[in-house]
Amino acid sequence: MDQSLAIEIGRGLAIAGAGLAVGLGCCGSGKGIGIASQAAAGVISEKPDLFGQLLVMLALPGTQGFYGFITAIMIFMRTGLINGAWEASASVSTGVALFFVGLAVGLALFVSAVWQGEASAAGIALVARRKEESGRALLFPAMVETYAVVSLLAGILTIIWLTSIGVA
Amino acid sequence: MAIDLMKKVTLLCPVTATQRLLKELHALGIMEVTDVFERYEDARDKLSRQEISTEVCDRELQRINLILGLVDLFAPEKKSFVQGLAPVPLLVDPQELNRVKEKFDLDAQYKIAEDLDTEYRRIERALGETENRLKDLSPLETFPVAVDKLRRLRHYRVVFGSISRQNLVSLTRTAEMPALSAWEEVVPAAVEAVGNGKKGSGAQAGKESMWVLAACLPEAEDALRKALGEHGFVEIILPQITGTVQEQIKALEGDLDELQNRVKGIAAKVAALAGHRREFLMLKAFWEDNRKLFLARTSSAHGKWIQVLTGFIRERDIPQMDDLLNKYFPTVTPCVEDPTPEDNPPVSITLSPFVRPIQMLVDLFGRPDYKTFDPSPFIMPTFLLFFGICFGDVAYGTMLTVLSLYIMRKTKPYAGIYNFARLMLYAGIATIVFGFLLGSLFGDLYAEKYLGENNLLYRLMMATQVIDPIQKPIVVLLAALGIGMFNQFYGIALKMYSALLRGDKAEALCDGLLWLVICPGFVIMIAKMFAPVPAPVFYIGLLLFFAGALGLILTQGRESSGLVGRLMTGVISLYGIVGSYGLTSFIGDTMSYCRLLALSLTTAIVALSFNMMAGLLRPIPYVGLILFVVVLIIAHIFNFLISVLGAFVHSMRLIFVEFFGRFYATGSRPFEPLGFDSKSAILHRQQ
Repeated sequence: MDQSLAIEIGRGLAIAGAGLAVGLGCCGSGKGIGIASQAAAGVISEKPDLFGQLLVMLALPGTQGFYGFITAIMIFMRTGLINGAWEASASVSTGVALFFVGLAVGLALFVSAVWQGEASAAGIALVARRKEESGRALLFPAMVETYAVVSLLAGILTIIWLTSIGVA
Repeated sequence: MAIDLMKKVTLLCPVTATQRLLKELHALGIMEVTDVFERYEDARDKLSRQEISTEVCDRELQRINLILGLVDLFAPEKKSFVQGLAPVPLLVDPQELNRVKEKFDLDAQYKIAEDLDTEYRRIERALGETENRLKDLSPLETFPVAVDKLRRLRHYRVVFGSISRQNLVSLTRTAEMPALSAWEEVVPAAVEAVGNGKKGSGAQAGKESMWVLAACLPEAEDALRKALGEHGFVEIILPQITGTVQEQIKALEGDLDELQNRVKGIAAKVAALAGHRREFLMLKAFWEDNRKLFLARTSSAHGKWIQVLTGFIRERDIPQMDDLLNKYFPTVTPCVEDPTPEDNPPVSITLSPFVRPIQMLVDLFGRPDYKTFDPSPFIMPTFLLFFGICFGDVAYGTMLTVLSLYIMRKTKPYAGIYNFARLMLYAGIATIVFGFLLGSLFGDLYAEKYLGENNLLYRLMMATQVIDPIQKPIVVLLAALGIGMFNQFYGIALKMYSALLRGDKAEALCDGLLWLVICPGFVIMIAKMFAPVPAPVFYIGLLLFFAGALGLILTQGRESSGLVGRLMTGVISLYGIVGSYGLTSFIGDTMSYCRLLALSLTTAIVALSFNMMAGLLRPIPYVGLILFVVVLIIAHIFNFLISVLGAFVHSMRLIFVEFFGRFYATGSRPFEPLGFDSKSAILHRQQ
């Protein structure tokens, strides 16, 4: 294959992977926050004093959007796209690999954000009944986020390794 | 300083002195009153409970709640966004409370509030009725005929309603229309809404409809209605009003304005009441507290002459109680004993001001068992370590430190918020330290491309940086896992300490020490698979692993019956399904610490990305620098908020799940001495 064509295909796939990671992560965060917000709005209408505690709970599913953003930025940085040069590992296979890294990380972020929203809503219901349980209620969504963190970490490491050694 | 020594106390006092004694104990706040029959089960047939009525307190609370409800409705307290985030109770000086209690004329205020409330409810009802009538009439607003005229017809019958144009055409062509009838289109516009509003299903929504007024002789009424009904005519019942609908609507709107003006008048009077909000809240707190004091008496029981009060008291407070009894209640006999394991004493924790903030985390998880120890001092360094790594950035740490100092200054009387702010102060300092070590100051804002070549910040950060997690993630990952591993060992060591405190040497040895032997050996063996390990170290690892495994196999099944059962349980316990721990738990819990790297990278990369985006604006002529600064400020505040949340939540999780899981047992209840207790206010003696 022509070298310049290979670079173009690889670049396109890597950018698509970055887009998927940030897009799916943000979609999941939006949905997760939406779920938690509905629960929080109902509680705040009756107990406005809980606003501060519930704000933290409903912000939690928002982090996946940032994890997606970080994945995308890592792809851009490590492939030299930000500097306008596709240098780090100019091959189709690297592009394909980065595409699937972005897709997989994005999917994990999407699903975990939605479930984290559900867990936050459950925690909000708990706080509504027992205000003193706000600390423990915070733990439930945090447990779900563990897997978003794992996928982010795996994604970052894979991106670093892929762009360091290249893919044959 | 840790879990306070607790004594159980029984007070025998003359029945007549009980209320006074409870009041004094309440003022001192040193004794938790418990149910007398929980301690003296067999005294049920000799002692009886006193019937206590809280009617007075309930009545006062009801009156105050009515006033506060009205005040909150018409003159709600203005709160800033920050105050809304963390609402705090009222701070009340005891002297001020006494003054209000004695001098404030609640009766007069209640009378005003009650009158206003009654009037407001009346107006509210009238408003509702007027609005409903307006809602009913508004679709017929353009009906041109005085409605009462149509009702007074002697020789005719009139039917009014809506019909679609299409059906009207077919109606005109039908032969079924009674001979003695006539119809007329009234107002062609706005019919659809009427049809929908009045008769739902018969309205033919979406089709063009019109109003029709049909008239006939009385004998033809049934035939007319039948013919109209067959063509989709929807009858509209005309309202019972005098004059035209428009005139009626105008009159109702005038009524509405007047009612609303009366509501404004009430709001103005309530605003005057709101000037006493503080007094109302103070009195609410007083009666809430008084109610609890009344109820405390229901926990005691009495015979003919003697009242029996039971409870718990901290050992250090006993002299204070003795002073009180000797001085004011010489006839009261105290009986102080050590609690037995069956007593389930409440747990009171005293900590130095330095460690006190971390107790908040322990309380979130649950108080420790009375016979064990308070983990607060032990989790302080680990929490700060985790937080520092996750949030590590010099600038963010400085922001957190300054913010915490500000909140501490503003909230000193509120123990909860003050301690949280103090914890964040420590966390801020840890963040600064790790920011220097990891080379992060607003990400890479100190870099030469932003602040110029060889700038001071760049030199400072380069001099202090130990490792860059973005450039060397594997090293940081291994460090995070190493921290996790040592934290596991630390947890096991604390488990041994806890067992020794309870005098259980077997548990300390079998469920603690043996795991401390096998786990390092296991780590050395695993390390050999990934990196060169010197032979002597490897053999030491093998020795540790097999020695620990042998010990665990022999001891983990010590509660099973039969030799085979014991050995089988011991072997399985190595994996982790049964027994106190397991190699799988060790691996899983250690791996969980990789989040330290992930969160550290998150903070750094998001900051770095924002710098990069802001940097793109800088070359714009004239406004570039301003845009650069504005974007940086907004973006970094945002990253600060998001990252501080993640750092706190995940540090807390690592402690609760991976660390506490090794050694910590909750299950006790906090010590709650009888004392001023209200959600509305806290007592605070002014300096």
